[in-house]
Amino acid sequence: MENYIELKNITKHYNDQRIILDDLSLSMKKGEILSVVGPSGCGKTTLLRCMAGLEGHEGIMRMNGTDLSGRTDSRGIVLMFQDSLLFPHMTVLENVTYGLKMKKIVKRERIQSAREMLAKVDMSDHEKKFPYELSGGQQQRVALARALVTKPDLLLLDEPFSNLDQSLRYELRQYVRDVLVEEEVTALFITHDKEEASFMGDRLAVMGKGRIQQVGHPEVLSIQPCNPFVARFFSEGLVLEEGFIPTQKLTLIPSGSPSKDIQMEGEVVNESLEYGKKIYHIRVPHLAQTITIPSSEEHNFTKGTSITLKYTENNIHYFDEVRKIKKGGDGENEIVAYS
Amino acid sequence: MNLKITALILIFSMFLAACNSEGNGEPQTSKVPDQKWEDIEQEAEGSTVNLFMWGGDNGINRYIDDWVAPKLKENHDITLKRHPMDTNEFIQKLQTEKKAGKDKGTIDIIWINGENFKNAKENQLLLGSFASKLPNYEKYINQDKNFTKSDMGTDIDGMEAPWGNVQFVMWYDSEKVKNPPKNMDELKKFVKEHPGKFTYPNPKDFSGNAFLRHVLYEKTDQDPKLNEKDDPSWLEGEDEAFWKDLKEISPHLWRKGKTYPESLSQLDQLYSKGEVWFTLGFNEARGEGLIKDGVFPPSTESFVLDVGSIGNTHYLSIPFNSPNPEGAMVAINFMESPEAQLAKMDPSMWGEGMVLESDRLPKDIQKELQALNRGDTVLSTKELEEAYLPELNSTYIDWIKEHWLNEVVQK
Amino acid sequence: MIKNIFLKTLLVLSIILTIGPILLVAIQSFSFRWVWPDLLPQRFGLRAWKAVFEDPSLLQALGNSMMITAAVVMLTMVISMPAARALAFEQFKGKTVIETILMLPLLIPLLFIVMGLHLTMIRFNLADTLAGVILVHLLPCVPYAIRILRTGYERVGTKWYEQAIVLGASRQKQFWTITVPMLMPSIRSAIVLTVVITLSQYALTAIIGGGIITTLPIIYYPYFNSADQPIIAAFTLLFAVLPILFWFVIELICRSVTTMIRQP
Ligand SMILES: Nc1ncnc2c1ncn2[C@@H]1O[C@H](COP(=O)(O)OP(=O)(O)OP(=O)(O)O)[C@@H](O)[C@H]1O
Ligand SMILES: [Mg+2]
Repeated sequence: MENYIELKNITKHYNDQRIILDDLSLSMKKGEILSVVGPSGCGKTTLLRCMAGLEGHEGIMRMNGTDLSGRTDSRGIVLMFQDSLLFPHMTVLENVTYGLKMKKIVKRERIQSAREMLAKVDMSDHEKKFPYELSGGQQQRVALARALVTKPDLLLLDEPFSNLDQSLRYELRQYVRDVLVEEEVTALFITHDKEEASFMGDRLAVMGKGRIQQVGHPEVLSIQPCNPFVARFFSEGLVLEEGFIPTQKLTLIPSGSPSKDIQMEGEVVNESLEYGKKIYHIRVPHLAQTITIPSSEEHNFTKGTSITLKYTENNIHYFDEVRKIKKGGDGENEIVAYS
Repeated sequence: MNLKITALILIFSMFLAACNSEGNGEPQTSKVPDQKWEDIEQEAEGSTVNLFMWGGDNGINRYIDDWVAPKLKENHDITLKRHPMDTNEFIQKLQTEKKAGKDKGTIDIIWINGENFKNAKENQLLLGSFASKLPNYEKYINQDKNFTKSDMGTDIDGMEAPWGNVQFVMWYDSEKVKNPPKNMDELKKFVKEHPGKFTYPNPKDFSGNAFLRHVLYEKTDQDPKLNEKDDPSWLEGEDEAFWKDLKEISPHLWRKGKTYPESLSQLDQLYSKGEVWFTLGFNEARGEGLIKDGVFPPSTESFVLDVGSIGNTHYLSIPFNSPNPEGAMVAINFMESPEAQLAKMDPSMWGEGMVLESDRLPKDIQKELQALNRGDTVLSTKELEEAYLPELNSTYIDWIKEHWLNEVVQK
Repeated sequence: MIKNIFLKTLLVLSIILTIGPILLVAIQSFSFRWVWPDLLPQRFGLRAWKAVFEDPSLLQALGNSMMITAAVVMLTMVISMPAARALAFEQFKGKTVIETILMLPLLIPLLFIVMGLHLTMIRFNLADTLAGVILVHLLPCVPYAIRILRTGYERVGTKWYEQAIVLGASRQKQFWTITVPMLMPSIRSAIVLTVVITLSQYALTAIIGGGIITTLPIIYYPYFNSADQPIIAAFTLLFAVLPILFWFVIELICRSVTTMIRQP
C-alpha cells in the first residue's frame, strides 16, 4: 500500500543554528496510529510543529501525494498540544465548533457535528460550560473532540496525557485510542513513555538525535533493535557493542558456575516488585550498564551478590551495520562504529 | 508584518524629514497691492479673510463675531473668519512657513504689538508698508502721534495699522478699600496694614511688567532718559530706590511675596475670588464686562496712579504670505472706520478706546461718542488724558524681567 | 461586618471623589459670582453656556474633533496592532532600534520637534489640513498604543494563535477570534488613551492645523488665559462629554464584536 504520509530529509534548526531535526525521514499508512517515543529534548515537539506548519523546515513533506511545503492554513493536519488549550473565552460547544467555523461549515451542521463528537467523548452534558469549569481530563477530551470534529487527514498528539495523573491517564488513553480507531483517524502520537507508546500505537517509532532511529511493531523493537541507541532507550536486555541480547534470553546463574555459554559478570544492586514478581537490578561493569531481569525459581540472590549472565551466540541480535558487514560488506561501505 | 514595516517607515521618515529640512530658497513674498483703493475693494469682494488673534476674552470675540464679521459681509461681501491663537504661536507658524518657503499661507490679518511686532518685522514676516494706503488711516488718524511711528521703540514704517489705544489702570474693591494707594509710599503703608491683599503679576507677564514700569517712572521722577534712551544701562546705580521699595513691599504681598501670579488672568482670578483687593492692567474699560459677567465684584472701581498711566497701542498687520492681502486691507480699513471703532468702545462688547482723532470724526459719530456711556468704572477721558504716559522701549521690559528675579525674588 | 462597612465607606468616598469635582464644575458653569467661602453662587445664569454655544466655530470644532479622534483611533490601531504583535512575538534585525524610536516621542516633548514637523508637513502639503493634523496626532498616540498592546500580546502569548492556526484559522480569523477577545482589555485601554490624547492636543493642532483646523481645544484653551471661570467650566464639561461619548461608542462596538465572534 502507498504511504499516506511521507517525510523525507526533514532538517530543522531554530535561530541558534543548533540542529534539532537532522535529515529525518518517516512514513505512515492511512488510518494508522504511529507512536513516537524518544528522550526528552530530542525534537519530538519540533517535528510535530513542523508537520503542523507552525515551523519552517527543510526537506519534503507529502500527504496523500501532495506536497505540504509552504505554510498553509488548511493542510488538514490538526495538532493537539500538551496543554488542552481550549479557548478560555468560548464555551465547550463554541470551542468544538471552532475548526468547523473556520472551514465555513454552516451553523446548524457544525453544531450537530460538534454535539455528536461531544457525545463520543462523553462530554455532552458540559457543552455550555467554560473551560475553567472543567477538570483536566475533561478538558483534554474536549480538546480531542475539537480536533476530531474537523475530520483531520492527520491528527498529531503531543503528549496529551502528560499533565494528568496516572489513573486518569490510563482511563483516557483507552478512550482516545478507541475513538481514534473508530473514526479511522491517521494519527501520530508522541510520548516519552515507552509503555504508553506501545499501548497507543499500531506501530512505534523511536526517535533520537534528531532522527527516527527505528520503526516497527513494539515487540520487534524490544527484541530486535537496529542500533545501540534503540537498544538502550527502548529494548530490555544487554547491549553489546555489536548486538543485543533480550532479557528473556539471558540466564542468571551464581557467579563462578561452570558453563560453556558466553558469560558476563554482574552484581545485584537492587531488587523491586513488578506484577507480583521480584525483579533484579543488575549492574554489568564491563558494559557500564544496569539491566533488570525477573527472578526465576531456580536461584535466589540477595542484594550485593555477584552473579553471572549467560547467553549463546544465537541469542545475539546483531545491529544492522554489523549484519551488513557479516553478509560480506554488500552494504554501501558503512562505518562500523557506534558512538 | 508588512503593514507594520510600512507604518514604522512612515514614522521614521517623518522624523528624518523633520531633522534635515531647511528652507529651500528665498520665498517670493506677496506684495502690498498698489492699485487704487477702489480696485482693491473690488478685488476683495467675495473673498474670505482669516484673522488670527488671541481668543480668551468673550467680549472681544463677540465684537469680532457678532459685530465686525456681519458688517464686513454686508458692506464688502467679505467673510471674516476669526481663528483663536496665541500671538507667539502664529509668529512661530509664520517663521516656519518663511523657512519652508511657503509663500501662500493661511493668515491674512494678525493682531500684534510691541515685542512681537519687533520680532515679526526683523524676521520679515510682514507684508510691508500698507497703512498709508488705508483711507480711514489717512483720514481719521493723527499721523503726528507717536503711536503711528513707533511701537515700543520699533519703527512701524506703516507695516501695522493701529487698532486700539488702551491705558493702564488699577482696579480695587471699593467695599474693602476706601482710599486706594496711589504711589509707592502709600502702597508701602497699605500693604503693611493689610498684608496679603495686594500683589502684581510676575514681570514675565506684560501687565505685571507694566505695573513695574509705572513704579520705575515714579522712582526715577519720570527721568526723560526713560523715553529718550533705548538702552536701559544708564539705570545702573540709579535704580536703588526702585528695587528698595519693591523689596520692602514684597513680604507683605499675597503669599508673603514668596510667589507672584504667573499671569494677569491669575491675578484677575484672585481678585475675583476676593483673595486680593486689587487688580490692574491695560484697557481702562475692561472692568465693565467682567463686572457684568459676574467675574469682578460689582463694587469694583478704577483709578490711575499718581505718576500717571502708560498708554499702549495695539495694531493689526498682514503677514508676508497672506493669500488675500486685498481682503486684509479692506478688513483692516473697515476696523479702523469710525463706526467700527465706536462699536468697539461699547462696554457691552469690548469697551476699549479708539485710535481715531475725535475731532476728525463725522459729526454724528462725534455726537454718539459724547453720548456713549463707557460705564461707571471707566475714568473720564479728561482724567485719562492728563495721566497719559508714553510707553517705554521694549528693552526696558527685558531689563525689568531680568533684574527683578535677582533683586526681588531671590531675597 | 466591619470590613463590609469599611468597603461601603470607601465606595461612597470614591463616588464623592469622582462625582464631586464634576458637580463643582457643573455648578460653576451656571454660576454668577461664586466667591469663596460662599457655599453656592450668588446667582445662577446661562451666560457661560450661551457664550460657548454662540461661538460660531463651535459646531465646526466639535465636528473636527470627532472626525480627528475617530480617524486617529482607527489609524493608531491599524498601525499599532500589527506593530505590537511583531514586537511581542517576532525576532528581527533592528528590533531594538525600532523600540528606541518608539520610545522617543514619550521621552522628548513633541513641542521640541514641532517646528521640524511643521516644516515637513509644509513640504508634503499637509500643513493646515485635517490630514496633517491627523497624521501628527499619531505621533503621541502610536507609541502609547503600541506599548499597551505589546504588553497585551505578550501576556496572551503565541500558543492560542498556534492552536487557532492548527484548526485552520486565517490571519484575519485569528485576529477576530483570538486577538480581539483576548486582548480586549488592552485594546480598550489603548483606544481610550488614544481618544484622550488626541482630543486634548492643543499645540500640535494649533501649529500643524495652523489655526485653520479648529478643534475643541483650539477654541477652549485660550479661555484658560482669562479669569472667566464659568466659561472655562462650561467648556470643560463639554470637553469631558466627548471622551464619554466615544467611550460609549467604543464599548458598544467592543460588545457587539465579542458577541458576534462567540457564535458557536
Ligand atoms: N523556539 C525554540 N527556539 C530554540 N530552540 C528550541 C525552541 N523550541 C525547542 N527548542 C530546542 O529544540 C530541542 C527539541 O525541543 P522539543 O520541544 O522538540 O523536544 P521534545 O522532544 O518535545 O522534548 P520533551 O519530551 O521534553 O517535550 C530542545 O533542545 C529545545 O531546547
Ligand atoms: Mg515536547
